Amino acid sequence: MNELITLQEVVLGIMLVLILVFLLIIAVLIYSFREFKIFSNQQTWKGLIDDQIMEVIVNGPGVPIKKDPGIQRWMRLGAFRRYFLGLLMESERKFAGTAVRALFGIFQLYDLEGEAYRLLRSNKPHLEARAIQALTVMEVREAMPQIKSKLTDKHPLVFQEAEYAMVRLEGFTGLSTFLDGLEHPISEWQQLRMLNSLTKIPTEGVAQLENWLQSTNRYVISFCLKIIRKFQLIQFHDQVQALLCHQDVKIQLEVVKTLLSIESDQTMAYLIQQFPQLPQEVQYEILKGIGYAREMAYADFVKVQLQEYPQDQGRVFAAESLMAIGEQDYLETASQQAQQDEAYLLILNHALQRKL
Amino acid sequence: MVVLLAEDDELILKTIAHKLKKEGFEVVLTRNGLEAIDLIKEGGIDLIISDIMMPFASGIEILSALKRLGRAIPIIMLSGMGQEEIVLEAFDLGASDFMVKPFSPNELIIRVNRLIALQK
Repeated sequence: MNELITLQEVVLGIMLVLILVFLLIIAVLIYSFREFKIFSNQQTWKGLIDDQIMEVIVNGPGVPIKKDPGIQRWMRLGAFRRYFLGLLMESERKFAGTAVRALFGIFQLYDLEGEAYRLLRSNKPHLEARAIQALTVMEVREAMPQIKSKLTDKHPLVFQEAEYAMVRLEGFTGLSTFLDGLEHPISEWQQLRMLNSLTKIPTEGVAQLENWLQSTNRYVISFCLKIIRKFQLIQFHDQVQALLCHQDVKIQLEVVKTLLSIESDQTMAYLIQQFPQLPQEVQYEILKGIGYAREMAYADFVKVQLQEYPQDQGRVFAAESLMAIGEQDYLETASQQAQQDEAYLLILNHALQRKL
Repeated sequence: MVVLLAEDDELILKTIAHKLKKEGFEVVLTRNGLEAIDLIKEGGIDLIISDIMMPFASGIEILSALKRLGRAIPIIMLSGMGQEEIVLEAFDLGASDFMVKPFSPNELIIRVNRLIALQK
């Protein structure tokens, strides 16, 4: 049974589409106008805030801070308060010393702490993360319980910021609050910034590091190895060495780096002994490590690798290490004798050119 | 004493400029490296404070220009973290001093005064 579309229905359909297009255009225009307004406001806001920050830094901590009437007028607007908070945090990354204390003063004067707490209660992860960031940067230690509760938040943006805040505000003690049962990965960036915030390891921290080295989370082990390297905790040498047989190659790589950093007189001999059983990436790390550590005693071992290592990449690392440990003459002689082997010659020239 | 301040971060530029003025220096401001080189060519600059990373010409290019022009003007470089290699290059090219951001504006003023005292 065929149903024909009437002319009336066609016109109605066209009108409906036109109305939808019209509404879409209106929505785009409203959105663009709003964005333009925010952008143009931000230019004004930046000028006002920069001037206030500059004035406070230049006057120094002895001079009482006066509220800027322009800023006060805008403070009623949530977008302005958030922008202000953002700029203040950005400024904290630019200055040091008494200038930072001055920024803390501005934070308190305009009750941006209150704004940070408001954002912390928001249900938008990016706002919560920003609030944690602000409270951390401005060293609001009273916010620790609220920040601590965010460690179990389901959104990575929030719990990562909370983890960093714990370490920045509480040091090693803060780290202990979440690293024990950690199940999720810790990104390289997160590891680096937490490591940067750690300034000392308390005596009781040694036992905790021992536990973390046994963690089932490879990121925890990796971070722990970085801590051992940073603080040169040579007492962990044997435990770290035992991790060389870990099933994860990334851990093995970290182990080699750590062993080379806290090495004893037996370390290199042990690494050379284990060399044949280790994965390729780890072997590369050892070959590079001999060069970095300028282990001249192992020149013969490296020369053998230069000749016999199955992959060219390994031979390149061997050649570079030989150069680093002062075997330039050996490489030059080898390059003169290697006219037939083009790949070998390229490797030797590559290593030699680094110094020529 | 005229200090040329080359920095593309508005807040840092304003803050250092005000600090220097408060200390009695005359300050010439620029937000890009190329303009800084032009200002050096014009002459009358006693000391330069320059960021390493700037639009159009970097702090390193400013140092090279100084060398090319044969001007012995003391220069303090401001660098970001992790720019150690560039800092070493800057010293090779004749930078007098450098400070890593985040930096203390008060410390910068002390270093400026020290460099000026050494010149006298």
